Formats: sequence, C-alpha cells, structure tokens
Amino acid sequence: MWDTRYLIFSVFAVMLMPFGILAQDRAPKVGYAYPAGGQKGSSVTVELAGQHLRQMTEAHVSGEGVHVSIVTNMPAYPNNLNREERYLLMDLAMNTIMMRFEESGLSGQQVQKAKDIMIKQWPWNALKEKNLELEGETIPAHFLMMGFENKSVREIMHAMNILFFPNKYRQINRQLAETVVVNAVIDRDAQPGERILWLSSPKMGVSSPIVFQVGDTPERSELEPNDGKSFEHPIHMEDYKQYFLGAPETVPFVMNGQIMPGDIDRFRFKAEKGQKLLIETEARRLIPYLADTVPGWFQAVITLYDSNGKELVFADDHFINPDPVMYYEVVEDGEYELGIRDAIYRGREDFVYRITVRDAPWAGKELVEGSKYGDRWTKRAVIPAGMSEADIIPKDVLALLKVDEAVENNSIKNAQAVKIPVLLDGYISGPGDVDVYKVSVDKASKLAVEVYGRRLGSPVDTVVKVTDKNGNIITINDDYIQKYNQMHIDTQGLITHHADSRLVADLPGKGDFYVHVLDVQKAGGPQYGYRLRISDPMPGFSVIATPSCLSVRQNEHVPVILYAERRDGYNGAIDFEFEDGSAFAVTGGDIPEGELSSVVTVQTKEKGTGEKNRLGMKAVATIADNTVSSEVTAADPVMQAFLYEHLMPVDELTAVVRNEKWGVPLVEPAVSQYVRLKPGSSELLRFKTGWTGSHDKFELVLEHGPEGVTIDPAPVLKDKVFEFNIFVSKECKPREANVVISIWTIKDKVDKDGKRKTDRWCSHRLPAISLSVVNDTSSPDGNVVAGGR
Amino acid sequence: MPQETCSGRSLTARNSCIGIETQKSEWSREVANMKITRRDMLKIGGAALFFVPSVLPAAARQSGKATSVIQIWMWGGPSHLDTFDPKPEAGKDYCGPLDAPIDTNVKGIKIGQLLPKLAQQADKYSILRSMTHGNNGHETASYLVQTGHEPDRLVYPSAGAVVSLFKGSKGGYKGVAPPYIVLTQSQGRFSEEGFLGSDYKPFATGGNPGKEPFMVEGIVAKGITDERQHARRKLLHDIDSLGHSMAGERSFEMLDRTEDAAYKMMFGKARELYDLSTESEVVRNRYGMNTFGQSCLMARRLVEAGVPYVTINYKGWDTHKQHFQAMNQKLPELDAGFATMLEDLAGRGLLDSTIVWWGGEFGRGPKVQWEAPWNGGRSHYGQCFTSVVAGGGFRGGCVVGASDETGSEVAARPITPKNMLGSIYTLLGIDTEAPLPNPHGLELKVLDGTDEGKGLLREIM
Repeated sequence: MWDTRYLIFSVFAVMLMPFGILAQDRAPKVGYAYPAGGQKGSSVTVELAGQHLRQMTEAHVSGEGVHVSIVTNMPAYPNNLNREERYLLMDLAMNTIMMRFEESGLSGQQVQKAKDIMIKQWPWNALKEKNLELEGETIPAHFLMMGFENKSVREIMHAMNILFFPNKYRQINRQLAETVVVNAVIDRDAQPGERILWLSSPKMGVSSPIVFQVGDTPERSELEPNDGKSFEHPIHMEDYKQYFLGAPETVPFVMNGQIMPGDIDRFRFKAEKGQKLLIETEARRLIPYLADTVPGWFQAVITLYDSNGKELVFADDHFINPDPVMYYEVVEDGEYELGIRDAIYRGREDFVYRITVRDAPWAGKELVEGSKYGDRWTKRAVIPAGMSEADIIPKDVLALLKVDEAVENNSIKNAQAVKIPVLLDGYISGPGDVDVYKVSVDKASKLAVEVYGRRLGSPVDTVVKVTDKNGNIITINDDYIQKYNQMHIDTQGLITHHADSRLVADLPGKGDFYVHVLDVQKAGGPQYGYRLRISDPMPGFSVIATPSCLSVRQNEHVPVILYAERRDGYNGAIDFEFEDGSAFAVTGGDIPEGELSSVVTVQTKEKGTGEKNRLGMKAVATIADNTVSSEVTAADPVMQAFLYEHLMPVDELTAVVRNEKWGVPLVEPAVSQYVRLKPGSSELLRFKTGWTGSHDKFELVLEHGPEGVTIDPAPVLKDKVFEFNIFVSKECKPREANVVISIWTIKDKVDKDGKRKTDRWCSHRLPAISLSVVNDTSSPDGNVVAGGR
Repeated sequence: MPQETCSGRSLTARNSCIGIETQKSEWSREVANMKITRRDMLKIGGAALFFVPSVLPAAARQSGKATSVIQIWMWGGPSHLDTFDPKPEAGKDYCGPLDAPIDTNVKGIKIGQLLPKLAQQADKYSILRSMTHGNNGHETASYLVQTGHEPDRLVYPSAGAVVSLFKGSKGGYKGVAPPYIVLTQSQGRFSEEGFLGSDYKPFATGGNPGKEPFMVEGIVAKGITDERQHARRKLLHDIDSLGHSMAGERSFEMLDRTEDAAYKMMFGKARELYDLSTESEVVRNRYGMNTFGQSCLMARRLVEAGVPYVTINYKGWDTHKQHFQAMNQKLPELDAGFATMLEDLAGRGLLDSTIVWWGGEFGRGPKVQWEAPWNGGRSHYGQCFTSVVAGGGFRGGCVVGASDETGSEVAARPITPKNMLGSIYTLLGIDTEAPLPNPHGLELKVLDGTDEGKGLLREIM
C-alpha cells in the first residue's frame, strides 16, 4: 500500500524525469528545415525534422518580421508501410488524381481509361491485393500528406515518389524521424537575409538551431520525379502527360529541394537572349556540417543544359565555397534546364538546397574580380550571418596603423620596410607572388606575425616565414590551428581549413628581419587579399561557451563547456563571472593555465519565466598585471564527418529558466568543492541535498573530468548528504581541471501488466568540483582545501 | 625573390619543406633524401605494376611451423567490448545491452555473450587485448594493421602479398589456386600488393559462396557452358589478327601464358576447389548458410589445398549507428563461422600449420554514443583494440595484454601491428629482416623493428 511519502515522491519523480531525459543526451535536435526559407510577404509551411521533437510546443525565429507557430507534431514515419497502409495511400492518390482529371474537364470515359491504365501499370499495384483488413487502418501522418486532397497531379506524384522511395536506398535515420510542421508568416517589410529558427518546450527545453533564409524572390519547391523532363510523367500515361509535366519557371526564382540517394533534380526555366544569369546554390550554407557523412556536408554540383540537353556550364566549388555559383550569358531565347545533385551521388532528407536564378548583369565582373578578400560567395563559406570583419579582427588589432602593401616587394632586396606595430593590407597578385616586409629592431625581441585572410573570405592559403637578411629561416608557419581534442576553437565555426598563418618569432638581436608571405597553393589574383599584423606580441584571449542556450531548472547546476582562443602566447588562467545583478552563479574553477577548455556549472535559485534571456557571462584574466575581461560568446558544437568538431556561433549566450512550480533538489558541497589530490590518492566528498526520494538506489555518473579521475559508482546517502570517493590514478599528471558529476535515481517498479521495470533518471547534478592534481598536497586541511569558490 | 620550393606540391611535400618532420623511419628518410617527387612516385607506381622480383634471397625463407594463413578481416573495425574484451563492470554507457559476458572453455577467460560457440573453442585461440596504433581513420589504420608500416611515400605490400611473395610460386608453392585469395571482394582502402606489383595482388573471387553456384570471378559464370566458353575462346583466337601478326613478341607471349593460366583455373582442378556443393549439408549448416559462414568453409578448403594466404573480407563492422542491432545480427554469424572453422581445421589436423588471424583496422569507441545522430553507435577507436590469433604455432587459451577498466586504454603489454605481423611472419618462417625486393632498388626490409615495445608475441609462440 502506498504511503503518503511514497505518493509525494512518485509525483516529484515524474516531474524530475524530463530532466533526466535531457541529461542523457536526449536534447531536442533539428536536423533540417524544408523549405529552408521563404519570400517576404508570404506564408510558408516548413517541415522541421529531427529527434526528440515530439514535445516541442513553440517555434521561434530570430530578428524582426518573421512569425512562426507550430501547426502539428508528427511521430517518426515508418520505414516500411504495411500492405493496408499502402492500399489506403494508393487509393487516396488514385482518387485524387482522377478528381483532378475530372475537374480539368476530361470525360468520364477518359477518366476511367486513365484509371484503368494506372491500376494496371503502377508497380506497387496494391489495389488488387485481397484480404486486406482495413478496419482501423489509417495512413501514417506525414508532412507530404498535409492537404493531400487539394494537391495537383504533379504534387501527388511528388508525394508518392518520396513516400515510396525505394527502401534499398533509404537509410534508417532516427535523427531525422520526427517532424514538427511550422507555419512561417513573413512580413512584407521583413529584412532579407539569414535567420535562426528553433523550437522549445517547457519540458524539453530548447532545440538546436537551424538556418532559415528570408528572400525577396518568388519561391518554388521541387516536385519529383524530376531527374529530367522525360522522367516527369509515367511512360504509360503519355496521353495524359500534360497533367504530370511541370511548367517551366520564370526568372527570377528560388528553387527549394532535397536530394535523396542517387537523386538528380532538374528543373526547367525560360530565359531570354541577353540575360546574364546568376545561379547561386545554398546547401552547405544551410546545414554546414553533417556528422555522419563524408565529406561532412551536402557537396552540391550544378549543371546548366540547353533545351536539347546539351551541357552548357558545370559548377562545383566556388573557390573555397563548397556551394557552387554559376554565371551564364543567355545567347538565345528558350527553355533551359538546371540540374543539381551531390558530387558523389549521396543524398538524404537533410540534403536540403536552395538555388536562386536571377538576371544579374553585375555578377560577371564580381565573379572575375571579386573584392580584395574574396567575393561575396567565398565570404559565405567562412563568415557566419551577422558577422563582419570587425567581429573577426580584434579591436586592438584594428586600431593599429594601417599601411598598404607596396607594388614591388617580392624579395629581400626590395622588401617593403614597415614600422611595427602595423596592420598591412596586401594581396598575392598572381601565382608565385611573394610579399616581403622588412622589420628593423634594436635588440633581441619577439615579433608577432598574424595573417587575416581565409578568415575574411579570401581564398589565400598563406605560409609566413621570418628570415634574416640572408634568407635563413627563423620561424615559419603554414596553418595555425587551435584544437581541443577534435574541436576546432575559432569564433567563425564555418572554417574547415585554417589556412591563415600565425607565429611569434624570437629575433636574435639588433638588425633587419624579413617577413615573407606567400600562397602555398601557388595561386593568386585580385581576390587573394590578406591583412597582416606585424607587431610585438599582443597577448589576449576570447572565450566561447557551449551550448549557446542553456535550458535550466531552478537550483539545477547546468554544465557549460568553455573554450579559450588564446593569442600571442597568452597562457594564463581565465576565470568567469556574471554581470552585476545576475541571478546566475558559476561554480567550478577557471580555464587553467595553458589549457584550452574547461567545464563549469551554472546555477540559478530563482524561479523561471520560460523566457530566453541573455546570460551576460564574462571571462576575466590578468595579463601583464592588468585585469582584462571580455564577454563570453556563444556557439553550438557540431560534428563534421564522424570526427572533427566545430563551434557554430550564435548571437549571444542565453538561458531559459523553465517556468515550473518545482525546481530540482538543491545540492551544495558539505565542505568544499575544491579538491587537491596527489596522483594515486582518493578523497571522500560530501554533498548535501534538500531532498531525496525514499526506497531509492543512486548511481553516480562522471559527466566531465580529466583522464585518470574516477568516482565510486554509487554514493552513500546519510542524512540527506551524499558521500562518495573521488580517485586520481597514479598515472595522472599534475593539472587543474573541473569535474562534473550527476546523481541518477534508480527505482524498481512493477508496471500495470505485472512486469518488473526499472526507472532511471538524473535527479541531482552536483556543482562542478575544482580539482588540482598536485605532487604536493600540503595545505592546512590536508587533501580537501576549504573555501572553494 | 626566388620562387619558393614548397609551393604547389602535395601536402606531405609541403609539410616537409616548412619544417614539419613527417619522415619517421630510416628508409623513408632515405627515400626523402633521394628527392622522389609525387610525379616520380606516380612513375614508380606505374613501374610497380610490371615489377616482378626475379630473385628471392634464400635466407629470407626459413622453416616455420605455419604454412598458411587465414585472415578474417573485420572490415570497418569490430567492437572489442562486444566481442573478445567485454567490460560488464563499466556500465551501460560502455556495454549497452551486451553486459553479460560468458565463460569459455578456458578457466578465467570470458568473452562476449553473443559468441557462445567461440567460447567453446577458446583453447584454440589467444586474445590480444592490447592492440594499439592510435589511428582512427579507416585508410591509415588499415594500412598500419595490414602492412605493419607507417604510411609514407611508398606503399608497402600487405601481409597477404608478403606471404604470397615468400610462400607463393617463388617459394615453392605449386597449388592450382592463386597463392593469395580474398573472399570475396578486395579489401580496398589501399593497394594490397603495394610496390611488389600486380603479380602479388590478391585474387578476389567475387560471387557469394553462400549462394549456388558460387560464381568465382572468371571461373564460374552463370549460364555459360564449358562448350560455349571454349567456342568463345576459339572465336577470339580466330579473329585475333593482331595476335597472329605479332606472334613471337614478348608481351604477346606473356598474354598467351596468362590466358593459358586462366583457362587452367577455369577448367582444371581449381574449379572443383570452389565447388562447395561437395561438402555435406551438415557441415555447411554448421558454418552457417550465409556469405561469411560459407567463406570460412571455403577458406578451410583453400588452405587444405595448400593456398598460403586466404583473406575473408567480412564487411559490416563500421557500426556508427544502430550498433547493437547490428551486433545482434552479425555476432551469431561470426560465432558460427569462425568457431566451426577453428574446430574443423583442428579436426583435420590443419590448425597446427594454419595461422588464423581475426581483427580489423581498429576497435570501436568503448563509450556508446547514445546521442543523435548516432543513437547507440560506436565510433572508430585505434587507441586500444583486440585481435585474435590461432594455430600455426600460436598457443591457444591465452590472453595477451590487457585494456583498462573501460577498454579505452592499453593497461598492459601494448601490442603494435608490427609486433603481431612480425610474429605471424616468424611462424611462417619469413625473416622479417630479409630484404624486400622493390622496383626502386631501395634497401627495404620485410618488416623492420618488429621487436619494438614489448616485441614479438613470444609468450604464445
């Protein structure tokens, strides 16, 4: 019989469970948005597919002028429809097509003839199957089935094509299985450009963001089958083909589509002699990284054909941008066909694209000459929306004296003399060009050299070397990369080839020294510009936090992973604090000296409103006796091709404190959360909590911690104090690190069918423990040092 | 200023000229000093196609316990935790549902719960639980494990090609089948014959031994009778006017010889070798009526016929997603095929002379990736993984080395691919220090430095 205490616990436990679910890497993730944009002044139905989206209740979009709301949530679509479902779908499709024929004025006889042909020819032919048990059967919900009765023949064929896509090519992708349909109303005066779209719910928190573009050009969505004009209508429906054929588009237009495995999408448009067509593809820009494909994005290629099927232009990468750009001057009026596919014929629902076709007389010049740092398309490969040069080059560097590169400076003999510190504007004028700058110093000193080229959108791939007057190399650098394990630490996120060079050279004494800049790929041209800082070392840092939006419950200690981008040899510790008046507190130590990353926990004791608010977190360090602070920027981690990770930047670091009556149990250190341990030793830690359930078992999970650190698998609970040991292995090297631990509650129960079940959920998460592994633990209190932060 | 020497070269060349040391071994420095360019390498690669080492140093061939190798190549990298190195104490995040390892017929050794048949053959094999090379890329890791060499500017031959060189026709092999056979598709990832050239390329059978007939590439073709094949050959010869006019030309004679050899394989005893219908249903069922099981049976037949090296290229182990579903499907298949083959080889007295080597290019991430998009997958893991060796002089019933409590790190006795391949070569009587003929005339050894770290697997040899 249930006692009152158990009943209260059960209610509380149920409320806590979503927290546990989230903690178990089940945060809502959006895999793609389709279409990934819309025209201003229109209303668009957008399919958002991903995982753990079923409980999402709200949709959001950044910026002004776009209003989004959830229309419906759909469960995962079955990989295989059963016979009955196929029958119902076929029946509906057939009847709807016949209805369209009737509406178009075809006679009853003609309609019947068409029906007979279709029944006979359609390969799945489920209509003839007998012994179907249709009672209670329905067609599973799918984005493409919405408003099915009102679809055109071509739209119906598209839906059937996707829903019956051959299973042998269709992969099981649970990460894309759940769908949320969103209605986006875009104001007439909405600012064109890129927005971020995301979902949220009080129970599950905030989803990962996805790109949504607002344009000013009429939009279309591809309709399968469209591998070419001859594929558009079923061969046996020759007499009815006008109902199946798509109409050619009129320039300008944006075509939205998805590429499935082996798929080629070709669509027709009319163009007139003299039009200067600019055809821009957005694919990698929409979903920059795919974790489970190689290469780690949809690598689109496009081809333009004339009305006879003759290939006119083919486009793959545009310099460093994987999204192809094409320019074509139309020589005769007529119908043209544009095709898009993946370069190696991969495909999946998240191979989403947008292609804009428009008359753009200016584009030819820009494609040939570009701007000094690439062109608008190369910039799109590396510069996220909303970011500009001012966000990429730090203010103190931008404040340096700016000097243009001299015309002739390609050898030590005619090197351009510069006075440091300086920010040079140069470019590699052509293949083999080398730019040489002369720096004179009075004494042995350090010289910092840094290129801003690829980061600004330039295709330049520099090598920088510092030499003496005889050309003897003092220091050389090709690519400068900051990585923490496989995570690339940079503020732009889109860069996969960190081509910019950076070095600090030790100049041996008084004299002239030479900084050489060249393109390692031996390319060059007007777009191969760079900005070059030559200065004394300017030590500094910036810090990126992830995830970009914290989903927090009252009292909960939520882990935040911090990455430090360090400059010019700054190796010191970086601490964190919130702005004055913040309701949040940070626990756990700083990013230690020499380290690139740390994990802290963030907590608020205030009740939430469910609103998303800026966190206002600051990174603080002491550099040359000066206290330096900067706002922590936000990003979301994404994986590229099974291995590499990148930080995709988001406007600002935010948090949603959930609007709930109950928070999570408060957990605080009974003594301290600062621990000093020798390698090969252990320490008993104690954390008090405001609440635990009765009759429960607990399990500890080490969520973050350095190599060689382990904990007891289960804590001992005494008077609402959790006790457990933390161990440091003998092999563990002296270092500073934070340890994040969660406590999981295990409850055995019997379900309504009498089966024994075990529920397991994350019920408590401890504040980050600041750990020092040291060879000497001498301190007044022994191992545990009182008074951690 | 003068043109920079490093611009425009391949990445490797570029790295080397900007001061990043990429060369590791003496021979590769030698190659680097020779200033072999990428263009040169292409030429060399082309030359290697026609390079046939004419003389094998007699000292290279020593007497060994083993005469043949069956390599079960777990393409994609099998999970060590779910096969031969279970860690039930590590918890759900490491074991997933496979957290109940089973006892074997050797006291103290437990293996994965989905390998009950292999558990009963544990006295025949030894488990190497501390394999390591640290590389997580398929291509590089495959090269490391199959050649024992660090990747550099020369493509070394795989173990199969090396064995084919020393134990093939120049080593006295006179069998009817090629000396290096892959069931059923070439491993890919790199050219197995390396610089030894096309003579040492494995013969990939194609087809599927699990289906009737086993259509071995170029030997058995569906719907083509022997008469029709002979008629086709005759017709080809009749219209071969170029061949007639060039009679006596060396290259044409070579083609003729190759054709004769191919026809001998097609119509001689070799064809019988591939005919699994001569095996009893009972035996075939014990191996498992699937591609892998029947490949194991085929491999046994081939080594019985004296073939020195047989690779079973077993695909499907690159389980980034749906890992445990894949394990539930594949491990029973592996269990039946591998266990029956060991039992069968032992029963026929062949295990003493046949090395069986099981393993992939790496293991799989010990920690299960429960999050999207993996949803219960395991990543590539070269830091610590498991291989299994049996027969041919390897003792059974042993565990060599150990991984840590989660299978993430080597805890004892690191074993490198060099150590393992060196041990296999030694048991085959191939001197690892012997010169390896190559078209460049370089002084290369079969496998230098096999005693690195803890050295050869002497504890089980």
